[in-house]
Amino acid sequence: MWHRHPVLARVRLLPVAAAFLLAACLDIPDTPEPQNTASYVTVYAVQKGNADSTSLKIHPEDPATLKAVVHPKGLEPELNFSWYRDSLLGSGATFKIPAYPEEDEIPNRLVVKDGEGNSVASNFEITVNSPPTFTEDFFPAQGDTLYGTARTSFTFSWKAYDNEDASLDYILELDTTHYYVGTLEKIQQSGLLSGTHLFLVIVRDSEGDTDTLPPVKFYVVDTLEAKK
Amino acid sequence: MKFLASIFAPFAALVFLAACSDSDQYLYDEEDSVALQIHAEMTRTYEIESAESLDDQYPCIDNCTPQVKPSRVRADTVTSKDTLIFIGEITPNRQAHYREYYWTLDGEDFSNDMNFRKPVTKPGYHEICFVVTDHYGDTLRDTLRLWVSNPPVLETQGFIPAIRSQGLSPKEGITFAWHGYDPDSISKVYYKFEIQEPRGIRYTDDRHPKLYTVSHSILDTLIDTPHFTYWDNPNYYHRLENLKFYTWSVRAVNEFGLESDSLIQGDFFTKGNKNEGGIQTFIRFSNESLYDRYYSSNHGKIHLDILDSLSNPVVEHEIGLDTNQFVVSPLKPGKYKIIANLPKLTDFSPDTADVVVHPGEIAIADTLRLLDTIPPSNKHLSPEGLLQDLDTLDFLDTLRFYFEEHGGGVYQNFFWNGQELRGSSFFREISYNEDRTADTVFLVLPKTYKSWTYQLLSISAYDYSGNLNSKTYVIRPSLERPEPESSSSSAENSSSAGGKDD
Repeated sequence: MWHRHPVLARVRLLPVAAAFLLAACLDIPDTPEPQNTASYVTVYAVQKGNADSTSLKIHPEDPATLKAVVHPKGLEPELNFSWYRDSLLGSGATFKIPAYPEEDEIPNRLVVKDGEGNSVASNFEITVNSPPTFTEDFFPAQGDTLYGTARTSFTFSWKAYDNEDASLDYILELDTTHYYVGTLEKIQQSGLLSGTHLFLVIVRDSEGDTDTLPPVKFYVVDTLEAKK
Repeated sequence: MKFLASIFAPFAALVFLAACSDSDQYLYDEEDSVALQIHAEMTRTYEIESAESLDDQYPCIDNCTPQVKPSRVRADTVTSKDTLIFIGEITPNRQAHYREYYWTLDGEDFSNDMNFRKPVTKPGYHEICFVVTDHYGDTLRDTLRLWVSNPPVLETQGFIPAIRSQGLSPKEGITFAWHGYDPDSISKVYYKFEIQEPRGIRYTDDRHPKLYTVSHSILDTLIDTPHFTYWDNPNYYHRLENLKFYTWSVRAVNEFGLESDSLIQGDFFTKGNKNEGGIQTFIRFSNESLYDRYYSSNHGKIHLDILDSLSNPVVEHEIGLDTNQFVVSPLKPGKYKIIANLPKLTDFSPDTADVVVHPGEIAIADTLRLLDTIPPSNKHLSPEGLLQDLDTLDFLDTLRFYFEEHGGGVYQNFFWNGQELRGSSFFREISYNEDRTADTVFLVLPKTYKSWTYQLLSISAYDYSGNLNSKTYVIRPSLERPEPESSSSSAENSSSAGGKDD
């Protein structure tokens, strides 16, 4: 009678197991081909080293660069970029806007195409806004001396201009107190004791651009105390 | 096999027939159908609810005492702190006619109760929908509209001009500025702005004046900016005058009519000419009720004399008792003395203050304090009408007492043997003279108050400045002393003597 040797039986099973394993490996799917089609494209503006991807706001005084970001990343070398405003203004992943640009020099549409004819586009609007600027017309001037008492209403005035905004919002800082003065450019305030004081003003336009009047140091002399 | 078929065939036919006949109840019958109607409402919890006013299934909330029927509405504006009661109604109210009901808030699940209490805290516009599915699967909806908004915020620090600012010129423009905003950023904020000429004003501290009487309103307007500039205009009915004192106030209100919790109250002085100034003084009475109690009464006015440095009278001025502050202008710069008194209330001592007026400004003098330190007088009035300064009185059914007070009023407490007499039965007549400087009180004594012993009548008379006159009269025995029958009965009589408690 023939008997199966236990060790031999195991040896016979090995090729079978290897075959199964090989077959399993053959079922592993191939590594997917990397996507070479752009799904969407975004634009951001860079000016003086500052990138703005939300409001796409630039100041007219300085040249700016628009940069395209394609998703997924890494496809830029294989793609063609076309910047439009009614007509084609330029090509390339970046677009340079000169200082003091005319409206028709600023693109508002970017079209990205690949070699197979696929394309994605992005419509955007660049805001050209000049920040407000304080003039030299403010009072009191640096180092001025004001005469009065703690109840005397001293006048504080300032002026800022902005090419785009007719009305600007101001915040007056008098010593450590903030006063929201809205569009006022002249106020009168009391409560200043004899001594040194500081005032500064912050202006903000409707686009959120600001300017700050440098702190002005002035002096108050109490006229009643001086007479004592 | 045929045998079995012959048995089951009639059964099968019977079952089939029964099934067909039962299907009638699933057929639409217009007469049998009842149209469902649903209705949704809401109300606020701070309105007192009664169990009677709502459905029985709705529990009584907060205060179960039936008081005021709440106002149920279908659209409302509330704050995020308000709690709302939502009330759903289905008519006819037979549960068999609907499958389910629920509520949604802006399309999301809100509640599965018919009536419930719940706040809606998210600011903005919301639609709350009561949804009912009827027996046939049809859906009925009723929608409530709700605006949730928090009151605007008004910062009471950091406003312009600061309290008691001097030298503001209406002709050059007076600027007012403050800070307010909508915490939800969903509503436009407006400001109720007022300028008034005050008569009465009090300061809780140096930064918080409180206006309580007004001569007239100079300006009352609603603006949409957190600042305002007053420019003098000859066409204004009331104009800001030079060297005067004014108050101003601001309250924020949003588009839904919700007002800010805080209120800015400020004040300022207007500018004068270079060689003119003025004086402001506050007046306090020891009798604070003079401000209000005797408003427009005949207690006279405050008389003010302003003397120059040579004691020459410069200004003579009279102001009402409800005016606790006054401004006198224009005055030439220099030293002045102010004397204030109350001519018709002679118990008040005059007070004086010295002040220096500077050009272009109003000098704030020390507060003048008019004090009454004299207590009211108390005398017995005989039946013949004679005033008697007696200490011992005979028992009469009516005792008359006369109280004199020149400080604005008097009130009395009467004590019979230490027990206070209260109630109208004791006081038959209380009369005042014309200028309320004297009271006559008729005290009616019951016969039971008669006694063979001496009794005590104490009277405490207070004036409104808190001065006290306390006087005790001895009332002579009004009964014959009973003869002692025995030692025990004597003791009993003694214990009941003077007993007015019966």
